[in-house]
Amino acid sequence: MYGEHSYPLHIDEAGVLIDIIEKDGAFFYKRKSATGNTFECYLSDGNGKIRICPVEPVNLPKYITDYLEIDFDKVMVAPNSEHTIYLKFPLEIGVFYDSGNHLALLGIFSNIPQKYTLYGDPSAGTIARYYRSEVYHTIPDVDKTREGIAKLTIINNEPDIAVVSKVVLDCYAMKIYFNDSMAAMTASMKIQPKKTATTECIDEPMIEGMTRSTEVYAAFSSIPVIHKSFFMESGYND
Amino acid sequence: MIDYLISVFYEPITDNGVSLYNITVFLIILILGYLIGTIISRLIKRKLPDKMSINDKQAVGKVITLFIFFIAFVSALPNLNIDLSGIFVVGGLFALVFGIACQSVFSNAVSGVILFIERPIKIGDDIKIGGSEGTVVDIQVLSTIIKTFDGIYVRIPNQTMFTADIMNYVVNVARRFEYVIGIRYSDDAELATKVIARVVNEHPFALKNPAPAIYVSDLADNSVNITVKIWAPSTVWLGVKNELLFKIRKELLAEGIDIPFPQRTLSFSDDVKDKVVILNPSDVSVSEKA
Repeated sequence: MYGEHSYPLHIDEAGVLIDIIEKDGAFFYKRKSATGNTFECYLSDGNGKIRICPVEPVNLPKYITDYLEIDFDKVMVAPNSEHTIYLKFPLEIGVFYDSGNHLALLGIFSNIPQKYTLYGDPSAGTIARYYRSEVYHTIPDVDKTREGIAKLTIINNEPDIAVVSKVVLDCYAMKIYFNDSMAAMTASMKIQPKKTATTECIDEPMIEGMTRSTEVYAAFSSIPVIHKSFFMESGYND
Repeated sequence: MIDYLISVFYEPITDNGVSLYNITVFLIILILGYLIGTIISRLIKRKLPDKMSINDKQAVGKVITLFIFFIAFVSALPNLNIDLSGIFVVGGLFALVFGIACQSVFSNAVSGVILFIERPIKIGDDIKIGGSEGTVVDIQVLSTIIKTFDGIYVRIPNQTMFTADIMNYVVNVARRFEYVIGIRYSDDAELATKVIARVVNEHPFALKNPAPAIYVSDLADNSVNITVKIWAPSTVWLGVKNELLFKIRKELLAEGIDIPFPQRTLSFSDDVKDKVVILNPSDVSVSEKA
């Protein structure tokens, strides 16, 4: 499903139905997600392309935050060591209309329900998209239309054992890559003193040969996305 | 020749002894005053908060430029051998009258500056101040503009903003709201609690953390009351509150749990039981018509 497609087009995969058919001299686009959400519109230009790719999971049901919090079972990271784990994160799927010179977002949908949470306290905390994942030490199998894989490297240069059970990532700087079998991103978490940590999304494919997704932010913003990290000042475990 | 020009330059050309030299110094001081005023006002305008509107920044800049130019003008006047004592007396009186007349303007302006520094509100915040409730559209030097939730334009002087209690609904990222839902005594309160919890948990913006609280809070006259406390992002809380209430009602009904009407159970003692006549609604209607 992911990738660039010319039309007429018919995709029926994992409950997602995308149809572009010629109708009344124009092209009629119809999309239905696994949750039953539908969208329809006309495309006037037959020479354009449709780009379908996983996007930052903070757009649905409406955009209210840039952050994603993934909670997971406790992981003990020894002092002065690095530990890599794999987590699952929720996916949203973006459909873009590429006319050659311009890119337009036809819509974002998801096959997975959304839930939001508060990281920190109500006065100084951060609203974040919430997801609970199991911890994996090898790349897990996923339904690529529902979940992506986050490779998280936890770096503990502190003198104490770090007990980590959550990570908050800034989706503004999230770089998602995909191939035929999965969508994935890479991130790091550097343990800091006083049970705080700094997280960062890394712009590199988890597996060689993956294609980089179009980002909703980058596609429609004239401001370049710079290197951005998130400081988890409210702790990294429950 | 040069000596002649110098002597002409210093030669008084007016009755009160003003020479070309005096006029030149006077003009140079005025030009310098204007340039310094412009530079300083530009520097201050850059330091003003971004949230201040361009119009307000320009107004502040002009006031600063004029003030410095005025000082330069007063400093330059002795070169024209003008007696300043009369001007100062008139100026002092004028300043007194002007100060009294513009007291509220200055008060609002100072309050505006303090609001810029303290920042209890910012543009886009949903606030309540006095009898007005709405979204902050603009914060100007003298006043703050609010668009009420009914779409009405309200201008509030900054002095009022400074002295009144301001309730800012969105300064914290999350806020809590609650419902008290009454169910019949014949209904299963445990099932009702589970249904409500399911509906709340399914809503994307009913926050996972802080967790919602759902519990039987009161055994009231007509109903078993279940209190539901939910945290939601401040930016969407009202929509969540309205949406969830409807969904909870719908799901409770689907489970056969209803919200009771207020009711009374009357018990009569045996000796009056036979004397009580219970009228049905149609009887009441007939008697009233009669």
